[in-house]
Amino acid sequence: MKKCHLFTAVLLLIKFLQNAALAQHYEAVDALRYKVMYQLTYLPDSGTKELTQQEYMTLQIGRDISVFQSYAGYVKDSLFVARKVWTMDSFNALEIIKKAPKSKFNYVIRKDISERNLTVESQILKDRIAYKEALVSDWVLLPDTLTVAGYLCQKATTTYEGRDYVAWFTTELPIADGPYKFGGLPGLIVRLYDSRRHYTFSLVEFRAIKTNQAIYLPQEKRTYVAKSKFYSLKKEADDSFHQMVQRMGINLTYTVGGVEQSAQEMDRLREDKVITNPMELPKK
Amino acid sequence: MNLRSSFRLLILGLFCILCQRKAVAQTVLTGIVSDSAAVQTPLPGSTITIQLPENPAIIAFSTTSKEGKFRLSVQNSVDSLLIKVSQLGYETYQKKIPNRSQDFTILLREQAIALKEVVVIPDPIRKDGDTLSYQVGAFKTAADRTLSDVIKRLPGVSVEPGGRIMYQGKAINTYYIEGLDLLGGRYNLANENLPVGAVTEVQVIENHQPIRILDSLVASESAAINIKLKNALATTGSARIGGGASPMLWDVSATPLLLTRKLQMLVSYQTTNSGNDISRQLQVLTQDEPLHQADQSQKRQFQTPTKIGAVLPIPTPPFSSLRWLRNSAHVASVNLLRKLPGNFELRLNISYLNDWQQKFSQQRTTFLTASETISIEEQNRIRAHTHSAVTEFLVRKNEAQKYFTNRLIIRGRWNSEQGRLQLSNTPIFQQQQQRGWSLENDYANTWRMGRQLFTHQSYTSFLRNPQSLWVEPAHVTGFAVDSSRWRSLVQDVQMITFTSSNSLSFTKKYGQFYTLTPTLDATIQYQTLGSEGFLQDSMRQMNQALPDFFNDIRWFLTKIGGRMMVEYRKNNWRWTATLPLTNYQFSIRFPENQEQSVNRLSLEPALNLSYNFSSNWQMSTSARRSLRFGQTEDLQQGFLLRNYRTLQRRDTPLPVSDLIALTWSTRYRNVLTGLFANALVLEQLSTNNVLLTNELGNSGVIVRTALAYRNVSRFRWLQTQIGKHIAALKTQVSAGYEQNWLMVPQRINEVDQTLYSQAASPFFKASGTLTKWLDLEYTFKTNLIRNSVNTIALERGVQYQNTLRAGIYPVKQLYMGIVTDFYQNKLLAYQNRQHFSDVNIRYTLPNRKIDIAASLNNVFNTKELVYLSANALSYSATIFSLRPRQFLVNVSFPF
Repeated sequence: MKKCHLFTAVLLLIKFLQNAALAQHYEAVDALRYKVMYQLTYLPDSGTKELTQQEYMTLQIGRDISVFQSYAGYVKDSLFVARKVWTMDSFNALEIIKKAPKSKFNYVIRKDISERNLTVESQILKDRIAYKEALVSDWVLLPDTLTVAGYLCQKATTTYEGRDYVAWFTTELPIADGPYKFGGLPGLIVRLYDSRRHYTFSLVEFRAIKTNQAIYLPQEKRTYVAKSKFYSLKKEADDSFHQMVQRMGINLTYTVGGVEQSAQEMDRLREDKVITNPMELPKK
Repeated sequence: MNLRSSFRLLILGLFCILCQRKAVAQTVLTGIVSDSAAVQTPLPGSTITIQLPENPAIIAFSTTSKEGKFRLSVQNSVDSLLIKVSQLGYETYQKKIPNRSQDFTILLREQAIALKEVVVIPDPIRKDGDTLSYQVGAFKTAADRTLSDVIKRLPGVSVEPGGRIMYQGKAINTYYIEGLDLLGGRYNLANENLPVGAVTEVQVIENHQPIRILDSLVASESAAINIKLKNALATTGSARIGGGASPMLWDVSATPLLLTRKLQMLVSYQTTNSGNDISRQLQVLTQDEPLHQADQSQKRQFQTPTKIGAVLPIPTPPFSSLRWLRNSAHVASVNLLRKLPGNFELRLNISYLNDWQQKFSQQRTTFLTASETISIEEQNRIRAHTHSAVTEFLVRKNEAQKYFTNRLIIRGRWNSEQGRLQLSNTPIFQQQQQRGWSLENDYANTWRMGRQLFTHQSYTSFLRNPQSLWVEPAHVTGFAVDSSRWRSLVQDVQMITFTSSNSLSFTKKYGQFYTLTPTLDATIQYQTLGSEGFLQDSMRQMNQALPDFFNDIRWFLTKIGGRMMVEYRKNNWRWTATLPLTNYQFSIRFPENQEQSVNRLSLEPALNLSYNFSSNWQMSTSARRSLRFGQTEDLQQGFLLRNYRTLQRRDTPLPVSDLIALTWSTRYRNVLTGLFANALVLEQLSTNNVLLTNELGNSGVIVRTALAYRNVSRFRWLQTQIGKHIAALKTQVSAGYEQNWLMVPQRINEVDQTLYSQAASPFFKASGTLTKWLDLEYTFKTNLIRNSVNTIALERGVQYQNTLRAGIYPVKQLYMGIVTDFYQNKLLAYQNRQHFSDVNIRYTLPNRKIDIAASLNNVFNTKELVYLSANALSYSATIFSLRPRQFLVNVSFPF
């Protein structure tokens, strides 16, 4: 967080634009039945040893679908839903955005387990882009068992996008779901990690929802693109965020310590913590 | 089926052929899963698993399609299989089936099944960027009451006896409560009064830069602590009332803490005579922020102004004041922080202390000379009264774009001290008084102009420090007087210091990695020291002035300089270099128009280099040269009476020490394994233009003088510590070693000699929760003192200290604590063992959290304790008279 709060004000303004001024509406997509929290420990940069970071991720399981996203994103969405942001004045919206925790993973994975497919979506400025993919469910079962987080688990392995993964699932929770794009096992994945342990998801909470609650997602038109296009757009947003804003036709004046800066300059100055060791490795 | 699994099948087939073995039969199981209700709707998404009987591992599985159908194959030669079908909200179907291909129609009965819910307890220590979060629940024991009880147990954190919190061997720089610095360093007020139950998390923010505008520009090596409360908007705190015997004891305190979004307030009133040193709660334990760090030593003067003449002090014993401090103290403190619009913070801290302390001891002091051994024995009884008030008013704006602060501190003190001493049957009476006041104003303003950061600082202070010392009989001072006529010697001292220091600096980041901070500095300082001595007769009526004790020093210092600070940060490297060039101009006037002027231009560079091997392991090293000048009290033509048997007259050029210090340190911490370690080595070489000389008389009278003679002294310090938190056993183990080595040339009784002084202290500590009803803590510490003069080794002293604390909880609300200390001393002729025990019993009223505590301190009524201390001239064994056995009952309640 240290390096970037010079730009926080500007970023907030833009986030505000993207979330509040564009009046994002939310809709209930399914009834919420179970809520799972995973702790994600990851290595943002494989060049530096041991500089791992942590974040919480949530999996909301409904009757037909499930939604996996960062806990920070979930909290922000919940705040908006609770306060009915679309009726709120923009100042309050800005307050929410300011207070909500920040995440380095701003994707939302919506899984349809029985159809064995999923949708990955992400907000880039005013667009919500998405792509479809098959559930990662090609598992090899192994006879090993282990008690993880109080559940008796069995081991399974798979390979996905350049990494070999180990999953520990439990039939005590007969839900064929799990973190990220993984699922399709005869029980919930309690722990999942790649062989180099760059990404580890560990279940820290499993709760059954007894009251009437729903899973909410932004009610907005998704622009479906190819997976490769999705990531090239994301990269562009990471690298030249301010220029993208400008291209949108929004002309903002950036000032750093009273000196006017161009959007290009702002992008160059932005030392945003881009993850150079992504979970999905580019094909060699 | 994708290519990969086809390939796998092919390999399997080939393998079977090659082995020429009977191929394992493939069983294909198909079927449909539906609801058992009359309509029999198919159930998509049901899970079908196949296990071998009596083995929990699943060998094959499938889920039903939209139509509720499934198909799976099993390759195994066993006779029978176990099929299980499950679906959320339905009863699980299971059946043992023969191992052959078959088709099923499975009906599931609807049934609400509660799944096993789980909340994994968060890791006791979590790391998020630079912040380590300690879950208080994971570290606290049932005996803990206040926050300080648990803080000292956190791995990587240690608390000094005075209450200063150290993280990885370094003092913390800020203590926040819910992100706000309410107490301005007087954090014992919160630490010792906040109920542990009100706190959820203690966060350690590593490399914390308290000034936000400097964040990422100026690196910080120190950490800060932030206290997270259960309820961020709350009224909490604690109160205590108690009494006991003997003598008649009282112990009353109330410390409410109020937190709202805009306001934080902590008020405390405490009074006791139970030996609890509540005065230390008013001490500022943090160093000033980097912007205010100019003249740290100057500022310390204001907290405890120099005592020119003192009652012969008794070194304080190295353990809890409850055992030895005979006090009667009142402490009151009001701390208020208010957030104003525009991100301004207004803070007011007022504190008042009225403290009577008594100390009794018998001291055997051995002076270190090469030729002879002089030992004296003194019986010393001191009664000290500290009476002081401090008001601190602060306005601050601490933002990423702007930093502004102004702090005004006003102090007043009315201290007095009396000492009754017996030196081989001569009764000696000493009385010291120190009354005065001081004013300090500290201002800093940092703003951005273009890409640069400008900082203007101004520090102005005024200190009036008048004092007097009265010694009876006069002749014990070593000053020749007609003792038949004159009974006592009185010294009056007037000291005034005025300082004004201004600086302007700008900070700029060049490229991505460099930060440059050039600074211009100008300081003027005016000091006076005037002293008079006179003799009084037994009626205290006749006075005779002593011209030998007359001093009138007027000191004027102008310091003008510029310095350049460069900081470079890239990846895991960070280095800082400071290059100050300063011109010191001293003009010191003595009586009769005598004058000394010193004009010196000096370069005092400092280099600091640090490297992170990983996020867990850091190493840093630094080198620095600095000049240290003497003060007014180091420079005089007339005598100064420092204590009843020490006279001082240093008529030399202004003392200047040229110091070169090298340090090397490394820190390691692994949150996942709970392993913390650090090591530090310091080597300091000091070239002095003045040699301290001492004339030592037979009765221990010392006349301190000095000579203009170039000499070199050395100092080496080593400290290392390792600690581990074993989460599974709820145990912390730590061990460490500290050593210092000092070489000082001095002249005693006209003989040049070199003093070598060594002290080493290894320690070991383990604490843990062994069972639900037993906590144990064991500490072992050894102090080793060894001195030698030239090559003659003087006898060494060893002290072993063992402490065992046990906390027993026979039932939930009852706590029984037993503390046992065992000391063993070996020094010169002394060789003794001492043993103490304290017993505490506490009962907590159910639901109310009200504690009723009874304590019996010093069960064996041990009367005294022997311990060792040493300085450059002597070392002493002190037999300290302890508090007698006492019984105290307390009722305390958090609110």
